[in-house]
Amino acid sequence: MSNHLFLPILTLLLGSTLATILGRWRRVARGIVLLAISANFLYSSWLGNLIFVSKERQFVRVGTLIAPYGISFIADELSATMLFMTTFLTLLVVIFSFLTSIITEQIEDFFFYPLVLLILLGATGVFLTGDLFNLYVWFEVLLVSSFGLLTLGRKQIQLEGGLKFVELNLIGSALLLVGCGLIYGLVGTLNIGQITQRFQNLNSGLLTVLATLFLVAFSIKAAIFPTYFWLPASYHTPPSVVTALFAGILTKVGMYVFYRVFSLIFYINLVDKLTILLLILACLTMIVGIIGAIAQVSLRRMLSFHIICQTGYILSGLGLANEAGLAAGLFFMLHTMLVKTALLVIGGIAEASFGTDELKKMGGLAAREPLLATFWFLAMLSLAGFPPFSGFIGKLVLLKATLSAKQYLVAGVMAGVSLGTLFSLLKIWNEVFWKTLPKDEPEPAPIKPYTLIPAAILVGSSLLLGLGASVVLASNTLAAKQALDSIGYLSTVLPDSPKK
Amino acid sequence: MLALIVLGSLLAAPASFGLQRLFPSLKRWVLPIFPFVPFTFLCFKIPEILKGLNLQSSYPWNGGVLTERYAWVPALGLEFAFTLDALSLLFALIILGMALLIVIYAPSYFSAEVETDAFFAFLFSSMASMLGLVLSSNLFLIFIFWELTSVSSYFLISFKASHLATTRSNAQQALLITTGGSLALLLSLLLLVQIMHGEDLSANANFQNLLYLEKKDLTSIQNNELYAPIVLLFLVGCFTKSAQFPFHFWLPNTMEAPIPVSAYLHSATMVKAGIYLLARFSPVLGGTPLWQNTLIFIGTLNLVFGVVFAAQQNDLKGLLAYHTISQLGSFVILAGLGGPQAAQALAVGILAHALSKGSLFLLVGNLEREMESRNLRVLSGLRRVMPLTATLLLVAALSMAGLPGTLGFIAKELNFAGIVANPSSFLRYFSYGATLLSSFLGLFCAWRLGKIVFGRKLRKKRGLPKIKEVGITMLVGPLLLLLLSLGLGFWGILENKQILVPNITVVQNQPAELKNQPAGSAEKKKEPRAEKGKAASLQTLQTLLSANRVLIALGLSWLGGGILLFFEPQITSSRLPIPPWLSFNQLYALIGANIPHAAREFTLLLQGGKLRIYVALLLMSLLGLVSPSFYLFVSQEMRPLALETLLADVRLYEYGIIILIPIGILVTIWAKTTLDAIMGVGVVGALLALLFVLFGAPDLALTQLIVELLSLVLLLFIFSVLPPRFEQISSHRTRIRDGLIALSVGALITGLTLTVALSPRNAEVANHYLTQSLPKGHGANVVNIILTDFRSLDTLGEITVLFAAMLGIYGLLYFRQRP
Amino acid sequence: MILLLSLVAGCLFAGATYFLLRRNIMRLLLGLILLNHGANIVILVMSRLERKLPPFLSPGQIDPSKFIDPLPQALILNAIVINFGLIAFTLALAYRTHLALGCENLDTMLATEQLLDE
Repeated sequence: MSNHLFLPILTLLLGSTLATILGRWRRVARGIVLLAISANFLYSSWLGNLIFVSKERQFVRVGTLIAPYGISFIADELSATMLFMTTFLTLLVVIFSFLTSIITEQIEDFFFYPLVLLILLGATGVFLTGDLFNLYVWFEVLLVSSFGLLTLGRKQIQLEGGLKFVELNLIGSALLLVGCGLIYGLVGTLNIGQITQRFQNLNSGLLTVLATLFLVAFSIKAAIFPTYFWLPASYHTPPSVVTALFAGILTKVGMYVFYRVFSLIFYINLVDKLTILLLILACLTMIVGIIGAIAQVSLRRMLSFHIICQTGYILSGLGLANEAGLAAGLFFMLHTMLVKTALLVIGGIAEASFGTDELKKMGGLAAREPLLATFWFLAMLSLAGFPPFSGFIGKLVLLKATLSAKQYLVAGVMAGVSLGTLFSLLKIWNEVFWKTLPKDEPEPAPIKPYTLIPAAILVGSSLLLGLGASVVLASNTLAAKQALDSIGYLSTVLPDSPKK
Repeated sequence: MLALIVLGSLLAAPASFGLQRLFPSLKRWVLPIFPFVPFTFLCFKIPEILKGLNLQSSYPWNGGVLTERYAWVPALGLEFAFTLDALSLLFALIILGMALLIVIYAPSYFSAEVETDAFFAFLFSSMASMLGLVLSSNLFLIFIFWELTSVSSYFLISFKASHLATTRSNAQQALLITTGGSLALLLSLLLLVQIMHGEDLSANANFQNLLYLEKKDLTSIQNNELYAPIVLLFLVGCFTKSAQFPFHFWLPNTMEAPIPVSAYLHSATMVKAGIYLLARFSPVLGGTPLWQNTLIFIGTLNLVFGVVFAAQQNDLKGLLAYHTISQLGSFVILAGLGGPQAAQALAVGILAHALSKGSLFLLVGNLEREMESRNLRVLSGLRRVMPLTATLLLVAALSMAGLPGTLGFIAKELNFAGIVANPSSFLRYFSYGATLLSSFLGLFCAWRLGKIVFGRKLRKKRGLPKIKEVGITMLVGPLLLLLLSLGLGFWGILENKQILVPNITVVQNQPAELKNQPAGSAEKKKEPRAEKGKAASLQTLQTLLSANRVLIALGLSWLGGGILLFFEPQITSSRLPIPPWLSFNQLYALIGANIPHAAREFTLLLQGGKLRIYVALLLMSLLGLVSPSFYLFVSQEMRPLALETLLADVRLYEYGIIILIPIGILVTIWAKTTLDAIMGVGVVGALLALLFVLFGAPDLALTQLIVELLSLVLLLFIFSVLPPRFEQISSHRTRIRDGLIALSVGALITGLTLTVALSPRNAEVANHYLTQSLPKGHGANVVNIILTDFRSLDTLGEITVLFAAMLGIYGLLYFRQRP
Repeated sequence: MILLLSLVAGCLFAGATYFLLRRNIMRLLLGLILLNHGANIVILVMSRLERKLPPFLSPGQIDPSKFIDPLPQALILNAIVINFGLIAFTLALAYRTHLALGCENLDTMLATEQLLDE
């Protein structure tokens, strides 16, 4: 019984309420927020290490009832890895917002940081919970906080984007709720482990139908073709700090849920019938994402489409439905979280300096800010899959898993889309950094060097991830193994006998 | 030690940058150290490496002498493994040597106002990536350095001119094409490793393992169904890098790059990488008809067309660029032919090309700098104004022509020897003919180059400084290269073409005997007849014939090239009748211009902005994915519904309540005013509360009523700012379509709910809650106890949702942007 | 009863879907409300709608088979409150959007997808 699993929830709740109450004293609030996130970051590192070394899942039941009757928290390598990366990115983005003035004081006064903590809280809850309805509840926490962050600032375009974001995600939530209800009706329990067990004994085509229902619900959340439209419509509207935060967290929580539910509850259905479907959707997502990116002429819209494209890669890892595929997809997810946040952070700096994010109005940044240009180029190389960055290892490991599974078409799509990614990123490189500033555009504001620190850390992390891939892949393989090991999951969750 | 060299060169890039910033005056002395040190180190390794050569094999440089391995990602078979053998030594010496000469040359080439700090950093990174490429023995590590050469070339090509849109797009073109090839190469390598795994070979992806394969394993690789895709993808990779048709067009487009860049790229890095890889992988992938025929065919195309285009060029750099493509084509042919002679010819040819092209580019740089022109029609009379450069240019042209005494001659001889040694007579004649044809034009180019030296003195435009000879630093490079070429050329002839370069021995049989030849039999050129006699007694018949064939070919090409010189104006002004659609350059430009536009149209189609379209697509995907699976998987299991039993327990008033709900919905749909619609929804909500009461959920009913009331109040709040009447905007067709979607979704939900509800119920958890509510939860209202105790975390989350919603709403309603 | 309530759930979803496909903001909001109602009814049906006692225990009577399933009720309660929070936010958003844009026709809100000219 690992009571420490409550720590993240407690700190984040406490932090967000305190930061709200003490909001008037900005420094105090900022301090509380930084403290809460840092505490979580340290905890998640410790937890990840604990699980990696001991190879055991950490488990605690919430409340008086023994499992599976109450809700339980269970952390395996997959959850711990996601938790670690999410807190790491949130920390860096928050520090980034402290260092720049993109988040104005007015925005801060209207509870920006408490909402950030609440998003992290929702994500943490999703990662740690072992109960299906509890998953839905934490997802809603995540969602509603993201609603708030998206519209903070209340610009017209934020409102429009917000409306689209809200509506499509609410449909997704409703579908998820229906799915949870239907599962309960079918097997009479909401504990994920017990559901898995009962599903394994149930031989019904209905399970595949439920699997597709969940597939649609999660596709909406994770922005997969053909339900991804809300993302390009809304991600580019709030301040760039919010976009950076969303890119690293929101859709990735959706992908985590995809991985978790389909490796555990619906695994048999996945392997039997849904593999091809998932792979087709993944390929279409990649293609639509990259075409959308190439079509764009403004910085953040292009980067938003890249998010969709990268999510397609992650989904194909799941679609391969074996341990190698899951591990590869997970590594790729970690890589993409890092690099996309890096690109958005750097893009945010550029945008703040130029005052616009339209590519044709920018230019000549490489000459003015060579350090920023270097970071951008390195991050770009990583996203396009160049060695020795994490992008290369990610591409390598995913292609290897795909080719071993004889999915040659998927591998071809991956390679082609990778070229397209380079092509679209070069466009930004050309327009923003290399070409000279158009004559009638105002000069960009100078950039203070310390604002580059978070970007430097992110790019450096991508390099580290590439060079240290051996350790990370070992962790990912363990995560995949544990995710697929339903027996192990069950034995952790149901150790006591039902009768008490 | 090898790893140290590679690492050191990688660090040389940033280190040199820093050094130049810190000690600008010491630039000239410090920078050459970076390439010089590894170069000398490797020179000392020459004797050791030579011992490992096996000239009888078609892969003479087998295995390697030095090997080091460090782990990186064992799970993928990726590790830092370096090997030094004859082939990699040859390449490494070329890479480092050329870098050294260019480092000496460049500061004088660039005029004073150009900031060259970045240039050396890029140069060293290019050097480092090529060095890593040739020294690596792990397949994936090779690939990594392969990619890095693309990136470093990108910066080199666009150096000094990145403000020009054309330069940017050309550099980008090179990067994109080579990256596309890299992706093909990666797929090929992955498949190759996969096949290897399948054959139960070592898990490491080192080509060492490839080399020591037994015959049967090799055949099984070559018979594998994936062999053809592997080879084709591999070749795409090599051809993009080495600018072979149809991926050749990026190379001439890099003409705007500064001379040092072109010199380095053409002679040592980038384009040579593909040839290196072909030579490296020939034992594994080569020998099959697919390999041979593809390589020979493509190589011939490049050989012939490259030299034709070169002949037509008036720009010196363009001529050299196309000539390089042609030369690379001949290397590709040699790689395809296979066999010991071809392998040796390849190695010597690479060295000869490096020496000649390197020196030529540097000399053209001298010309360009002083005479400010690269136009062959204009330049003449060089010997009068720049005597040293002129002499060197003449020697370089003669080397290109294959004058005996230069390494170029040796290379040409070996080239023909490699061709005639091939067992297939068709290939022999074909390659021989193609090579002969191209050498006519090749010599034509050489003679054109030589012509610059003579002729009338060129007069520069008024106002420009007088033409004078360039400084020593710009001459030392070409001088050394040409001296080496001459030296090796003479040495080769003296030794009767044995051990001419530190890496290659040519003669197949009885090397020891021939070594002791008297010097008199050496000069073939002068006494062909006498040679015949001596040759007959000393060499095999085949060598004799081949030697003659070689001489005939050389003689003819010298003559032919000279004759063509008289037709120079006609040749340069004519254009080959190539239809425009075959020009890949134009094709690329066409694609490049249209892709963004097509992407835009496609994206606008899907992501048009209308929310209801998004919703429609979302719902249709729901229907499209779930309904078919419902039909496929459940329909067999369904039993016919027994309506009577299902409706048996329904009381009459319940019918009444239930029928009101759809009526309420319809009222809301058909409502003309906003108020009516809101009321309709309110009524539906109230009816649902009634339903909750009917089915034993009083708490639920209470909550539903309260929440419904609150929602109504909020709706009315909004209603106060919206227009009271709905406008009927949608067309009839849209309504019908939307209605159909709606009905389908409703049917789906009904079907799902019904199917699940009809299945047996598992009451274990529910019973547990019921039985434990009093003892554990100390409460009689089970639902309450569930919410506040058993599943209190859900309630906590629920409250947090309200909290977060409150924060968001507050921001929405009250946000004030202070001006 | 299961059949009838399943049909009710279907009707609610159908109505909600129809509203979600309309251009008018107000219809959109009503659609979201109906959607949540529909989801709640689906969960209600999961309790199999047996004619049993509501889940109020008295000290003597603890035979679970006499009571209706309490868990769906708890879930629906939770869902109602959560969805209320979400709807409240959506209402505020719609309100603000209308104030800012001056119209409620969703088809005119295209600014987020405008591809500016090259």
